Amino acid sequence: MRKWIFGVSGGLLLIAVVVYFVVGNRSDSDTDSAKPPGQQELPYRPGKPVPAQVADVVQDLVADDVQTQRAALTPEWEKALPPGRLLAKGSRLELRKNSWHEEGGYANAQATLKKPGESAQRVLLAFAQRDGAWQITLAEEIK
Amino acid sequence: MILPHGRARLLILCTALTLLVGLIMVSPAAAAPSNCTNNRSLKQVTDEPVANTMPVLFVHGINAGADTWDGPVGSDSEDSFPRKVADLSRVSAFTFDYKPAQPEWVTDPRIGPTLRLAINCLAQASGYKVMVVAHSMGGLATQYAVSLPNGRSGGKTWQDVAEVITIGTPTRGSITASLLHHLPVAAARAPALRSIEGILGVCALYGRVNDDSMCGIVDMLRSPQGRALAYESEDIKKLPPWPKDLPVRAIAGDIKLSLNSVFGVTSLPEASVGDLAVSLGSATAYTNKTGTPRVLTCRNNQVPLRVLGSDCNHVNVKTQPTVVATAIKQIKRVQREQTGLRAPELAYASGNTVSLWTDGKAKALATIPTGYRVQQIAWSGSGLSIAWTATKGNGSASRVYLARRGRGEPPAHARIHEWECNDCSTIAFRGEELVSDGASTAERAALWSYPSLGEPRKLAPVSSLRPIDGCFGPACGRLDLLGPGPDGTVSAAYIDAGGNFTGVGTLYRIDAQGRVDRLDGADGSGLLGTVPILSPRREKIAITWFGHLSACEEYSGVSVLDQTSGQVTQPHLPDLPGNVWLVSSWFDSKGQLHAAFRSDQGCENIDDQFDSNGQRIHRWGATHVYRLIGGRWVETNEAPVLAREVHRGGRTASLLGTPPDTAPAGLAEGRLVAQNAANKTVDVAQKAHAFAWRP
Repeated sequence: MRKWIFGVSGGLLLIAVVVYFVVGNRSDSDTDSAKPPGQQELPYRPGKPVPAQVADVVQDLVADDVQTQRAALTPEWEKALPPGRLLAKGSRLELRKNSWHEEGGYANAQATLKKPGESAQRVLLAFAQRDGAWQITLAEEIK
Repeated sequence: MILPHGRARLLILCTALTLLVGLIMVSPAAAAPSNCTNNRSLKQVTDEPVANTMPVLFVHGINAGADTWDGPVGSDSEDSFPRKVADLSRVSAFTFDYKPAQPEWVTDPRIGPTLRLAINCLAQASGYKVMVVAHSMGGLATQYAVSLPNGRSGGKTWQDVAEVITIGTPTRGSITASLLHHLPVAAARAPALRSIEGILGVCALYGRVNDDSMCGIVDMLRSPQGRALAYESEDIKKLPPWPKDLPVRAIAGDIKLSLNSVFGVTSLPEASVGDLAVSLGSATAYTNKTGTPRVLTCRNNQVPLRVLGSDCNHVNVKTQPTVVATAIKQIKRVQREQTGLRAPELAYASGNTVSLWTDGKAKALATIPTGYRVQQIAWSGSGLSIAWTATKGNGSASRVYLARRGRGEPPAHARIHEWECNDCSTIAFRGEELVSDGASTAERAALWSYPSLGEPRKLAPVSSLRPIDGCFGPACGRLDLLGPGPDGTVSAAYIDAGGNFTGVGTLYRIDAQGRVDRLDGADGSGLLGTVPILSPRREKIAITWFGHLSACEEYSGVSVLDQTSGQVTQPHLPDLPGNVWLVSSWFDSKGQLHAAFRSDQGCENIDDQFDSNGQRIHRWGATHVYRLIGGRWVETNEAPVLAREVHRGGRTASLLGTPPDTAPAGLAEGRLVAQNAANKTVDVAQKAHAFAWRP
């Protein structure tokens, strides 16, 4: 009887160990250490380096002249916004390394935005590809 | 390889535990009704009888399975939308699962055509039209399925459907799918396009931790199925239009999105983005006979990352509490309408005519040959088929009749088929299949099966009955039908032992394949008055039996078969002087058995035991009515009747008259009365001799 109890206990322990490693490992592989803080529901995997053209478009957003800033956006969004500057002069936008996620003509990346006189903001940028070029279609603060 | 003793035992134990866990995980929660089990895509939410319930069929959408109706991950499936529907009175709930067929289009044989089979089967099994609740592409699968034939002459599947509720169905297609497949989206207005493209960017390579997440839907719209779902796609345009007589109700989610962005602009116009996967215009593009679509609007989701978790998004909207409440309200209404449409219908025989009576109006259904008399009338569980037996006055010949009508068709449209059946005495429906006794012998156990299209009757073998144990007489080896059993079975008594002085035999439940479940046995020397007496919900059958101890000691009584447990209650006869005989028995609306008994003084020490025709002369005392309470007969002051049947809705039909001098009194002739819609008891027919409520 005692041997039988040991056998059962051993079996259950073995299953528990297997479940722990299999499920635990899977869970680790599916989540991302780079997920935006406070956004547990959006666990991004580590991305790729941000393409050079995208980096240029992002810098256009903080360019000095209005036209360059607005040209960084998709036409639909640009038309929806009131005329004028999008971001104040002296704003800086720094892309996060390896935060580029691209799929089927759409993409996202994360950045840090520093407006003059304000504290830095974590920003999620979304992109759409138009005629081979990327344009910004969303820029939201991640709180 | 030889393992050390302990390790081998551990391995065996682990294997056994793994197998056990596997078995538990693959066991379905509940099986579909037995006559629909060929459709493996169909699962019943709770294991309840389907007959006389309105089936509600849940059809999931793209990138999902039946579990999509359980609600957001982590919610209690015991409190799911289908479960709530299954808990409604006289409603059964089913899920249709075509996950294995994804990512094929709705015309794939495993989707639309299999769905139509499920609908047809549920309508047949229940006797009611099916209500469909369809999410997303499930609505398009339903649109296709209802256009297909329903397997009956000239009929279409939509005729088996009471109403369709679509939730987030892309009737015109999905702008989001078009964007993902780089197809033109001229119809999309700029604000919506801008917002949706922002969401698509956010969802690019989104970590797919949760299959049921909003981004999961975006991923799925990238599939070939998603291409078919593109806005105004050729695949959608090719679908047959919804039938103009089928009510279709649209429910949609609509997110009013106003992105603030980091640019500090707060005056952007609000954009309606539908449920993100399907625009409001597409999800509400078709309704019919149901008024304006129901739109669930969400406004408090300005931040796109939160929009993905909105109650109004494509995934969440179908189980959002307001949507569930709206759908349940409609399900209750349709169920009431269907029930109301079917006022209780009483079939009866008088003279050589079989008629149908509803609320004071009678219509002749058929006539039987002169000289014949109807012995028994039986309805199928769906109420679409009715059968009766008729026997020539001298008992030399019998016939079986079967009338089947389409759903919603008037009785006059029923097609009637008939067969000679000189060897049968009882009929019953096994599901929707008409069977009779008469095919069984001591060497071979079988029933007769009567095809619904009138082809020659066939032998329906029965297997695994207990071997006959030395019985004798004409009843030996005979299967007597007691009535329809649960889950498409038929209940029967099998005379397998003894003769006059032993039991009725063993009771069995026989399924469509002829397999049997053995139930209790029953007392008596044989069955008497073989017309089955069913409780209103058909969960009990009264078995009328005959006892013979000697020529002057004969009596009869009634036992109750509980069809759920298979147990038989066999009460002692009431304490009356002499030989006690049953006059009639019936169940009240609560399923309690009542019976009328009378007694004669027997024939010992009496010279004139027989009349000039050789019939025993009975000297009858008064008839008393009893109610069976706790296994004992308790006398009541009710007036005796020759026969009575209570409809499950509560209406009563009674055969009134004086019991004949002969015993048994079971097939006596009398005045048939029934309750009409105002619950007044009115005359139905004079000289009636068989009757049965449509279930």
